[in-house]
Amino acid sequence: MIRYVVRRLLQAIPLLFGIATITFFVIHLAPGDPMDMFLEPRLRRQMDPEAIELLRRNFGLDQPIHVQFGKWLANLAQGDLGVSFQYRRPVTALIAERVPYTLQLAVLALLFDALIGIALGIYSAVRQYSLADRVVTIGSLAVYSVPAFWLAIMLVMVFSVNLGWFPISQTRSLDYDLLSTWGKIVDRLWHLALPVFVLGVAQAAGTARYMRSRLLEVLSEEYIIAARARGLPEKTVILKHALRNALIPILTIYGMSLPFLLGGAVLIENVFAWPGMGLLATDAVGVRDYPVIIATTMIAAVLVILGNLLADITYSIVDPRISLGVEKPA
Amino acid sequence: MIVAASVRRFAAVGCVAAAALASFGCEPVARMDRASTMTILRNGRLTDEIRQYNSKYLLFLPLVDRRGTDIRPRLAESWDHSPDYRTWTFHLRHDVRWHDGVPVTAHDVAFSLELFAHPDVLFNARIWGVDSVSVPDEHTITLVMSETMLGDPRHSWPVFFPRHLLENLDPAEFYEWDFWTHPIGNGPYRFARYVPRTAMELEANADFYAGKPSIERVIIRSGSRNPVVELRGGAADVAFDLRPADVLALGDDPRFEVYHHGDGAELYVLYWNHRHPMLADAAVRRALDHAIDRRELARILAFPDDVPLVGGLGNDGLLDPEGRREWDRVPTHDPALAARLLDEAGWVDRDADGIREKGGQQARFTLLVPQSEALGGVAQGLLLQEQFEDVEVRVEIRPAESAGLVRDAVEGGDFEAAITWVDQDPHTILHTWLGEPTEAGGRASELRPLGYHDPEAAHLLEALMATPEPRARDTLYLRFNEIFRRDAPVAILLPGVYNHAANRRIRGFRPSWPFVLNYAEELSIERQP
Repeated sequence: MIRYVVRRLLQAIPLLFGIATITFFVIHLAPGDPMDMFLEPRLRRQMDPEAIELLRRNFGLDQPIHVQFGKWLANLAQGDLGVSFQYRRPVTALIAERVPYTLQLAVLALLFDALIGIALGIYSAVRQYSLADRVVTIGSLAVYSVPAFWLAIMLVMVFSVNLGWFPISQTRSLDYDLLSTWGKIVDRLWHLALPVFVLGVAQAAGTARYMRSRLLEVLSEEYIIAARARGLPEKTVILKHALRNALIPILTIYGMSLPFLLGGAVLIENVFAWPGMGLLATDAVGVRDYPVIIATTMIAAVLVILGNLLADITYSIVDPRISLGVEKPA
Repeated sequence: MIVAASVRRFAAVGCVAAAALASFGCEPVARMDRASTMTILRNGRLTDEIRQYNSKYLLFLPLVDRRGTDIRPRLAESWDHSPDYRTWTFHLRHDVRWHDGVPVTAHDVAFSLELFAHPDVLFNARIWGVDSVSVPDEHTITLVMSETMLGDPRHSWPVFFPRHLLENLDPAEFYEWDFWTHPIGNGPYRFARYVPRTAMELEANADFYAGKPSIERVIIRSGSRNPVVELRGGAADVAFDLRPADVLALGDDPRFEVYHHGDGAELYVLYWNHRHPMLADAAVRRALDHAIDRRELARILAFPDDVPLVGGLGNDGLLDPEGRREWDRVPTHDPALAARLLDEAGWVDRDADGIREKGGQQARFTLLVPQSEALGGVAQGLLLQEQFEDVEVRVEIRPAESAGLVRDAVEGGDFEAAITWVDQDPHTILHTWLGEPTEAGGRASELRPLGYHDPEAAHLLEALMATPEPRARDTLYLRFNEIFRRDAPVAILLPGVYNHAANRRIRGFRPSWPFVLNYAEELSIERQP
């Protein structure tokens, strides 16, 4: 297993290098000038050309693009992702600040997905063709089809603007510092409720659909019929025999859902002014903050690779018939 | 059945938890004393906001400020300049103190200006035209402006920071100083509390030289992307720089008033590429000017119906207020006149296909428009397309991601017509776009963006750049304006207007203020019965 993981990680290095190279050159060749964020176009004539040049030199933008790339790679090898043009702060520090916010969203959305999606999937499967099953099926299809940003705006309008139940945006209340520890926890959860719901609900709808069909498939297997014939209680048949087998493919897709959650977080963070990686990335694109764009792209790439690796490992753990890297004889 | 029961229990617990969360959640908002608090919404980071954007004026004072077209004293109580306008002396108030009690002196101003120009800082580009700074006494500061960059320091409104707290800090870490999260200022409001990535709370400064502000507490909320929702949800009282769509969305809400501020300093301009076979003809450009319905364009940008329209160089470009006079600036919207002028210029629709022709060339061009919603987006371009088609001139729209990209395309000559947003000041619109290439400018003649060429205009523009004295400058400007009206080298579409919205309980906003927070001590909150 360890050899497999190491091999996969080593294989990821050229892949990441390729992604970094493509991202670097694409963003540098894209139209637009990062200096625009400092130099209002209408004031250009009033500025000291030396100062403009100095700014450009400070950011290394005066160098040929291949030199910039070489320096960026050399710095990357030392764990230095450069300095943000926009914030004038090290990118690593910015990302370290923002990642926890995105992870909060992604992990809680994943949890929401697992709890609600699996529960509804089981409920739907054991009550196949009932009214409840139809409601869950149609409801999950509808939720799955709704664009996340639209759902987010609608929920904000209803639950925040009209009813005032939840905050419109941000991560904590202004009085956060004055709250007790428990109060702080609840305050954070209160702010997390809508973004996590929006991010997790579509995933949960997908999981419910998948869980239902998988469980129905398993419930028709001969060993389940045999278990029932042996007089085992229905609870044992479903939870112990059927569910465990039905969950195997579900668990594997969670590994791969992390990148999708991060992708969704870009939209959700913008709607809820949630200061995570998604907001950082979209802001950076708007002002051509090259170091931040490249760093956030790289982190997304790393997460995709790790997600895939995690899915493969999970699959091999939950299904002993699968061997990592080597096919077992039938 | 058992599973179903479990799911029901789970759902019930979830509902109770959500309700508890929601009921708790209402509490922190309710705890705020809204009656004496103004919450303003800003898009950027808080530390950037209080250092260099609108909210900085709550905490810090600029030397002078502007109300309407008048320069008003602020930290400086008076000022004078040398006959050549290069040396400016500001006399500071004696009664201003930093919020920690230390008196504000000219050394603070000098320290800040030197700090801004430090190679590791390069902050506040607007004031880089300062060549040298000297402090004749504790309350006097003298600035010598750069010879090559004509600048009036009264038009730059940086704020200044306390030397005694910052002089020993490393400028290389300027943007990460802890000072920005608990700033000590000298303005009408003092720092009270900072909640990272959420808000900064300020409280009225009882020792402010102009008296304690009426509003007790100001909260600057950061990061919002949806000001209309925040305003309507009660999370904010004031939001700045609203997009036209936001203004329309707020239009029917009686709780809010939208303030439109435009001081004539910015303009929406339609650039013509004079190398284009049709647009090279001044008669065609004048005709197209008359085809434009500027009032309709203003509606698309959600401007109020009473906003004064512009259509040419106006008297805002005059430096000497006494020399200002009104003149007819707006070419009339007259499609019939436009059609006649085009006919006279030889552009006629002979084959009845709805497009004029001349010498085998069709009357058509591509219009480059910024997609930015704040700038009116593509909607403005589409309306112009419709208006030009009314006079049988075909227009194709070419959207660009940003105003910067439009500018780049214009600078590179890669355009036929383009809408952009510029400063009316001769430094930019006139010299940059219409001037002849010079050694100082370093612009190769083949890159002269619009391809406009008139020897007298070029001479006047160079003279404008080199003439600081207002009356002499205005004489040149007036003459240039005559040439501008004759040649119509660009079409001036609309004045730049910023939209701000405030809850009506906040009293005292004036549309004529360039930045509504400059005089925050004059705002008040209406007491609810």
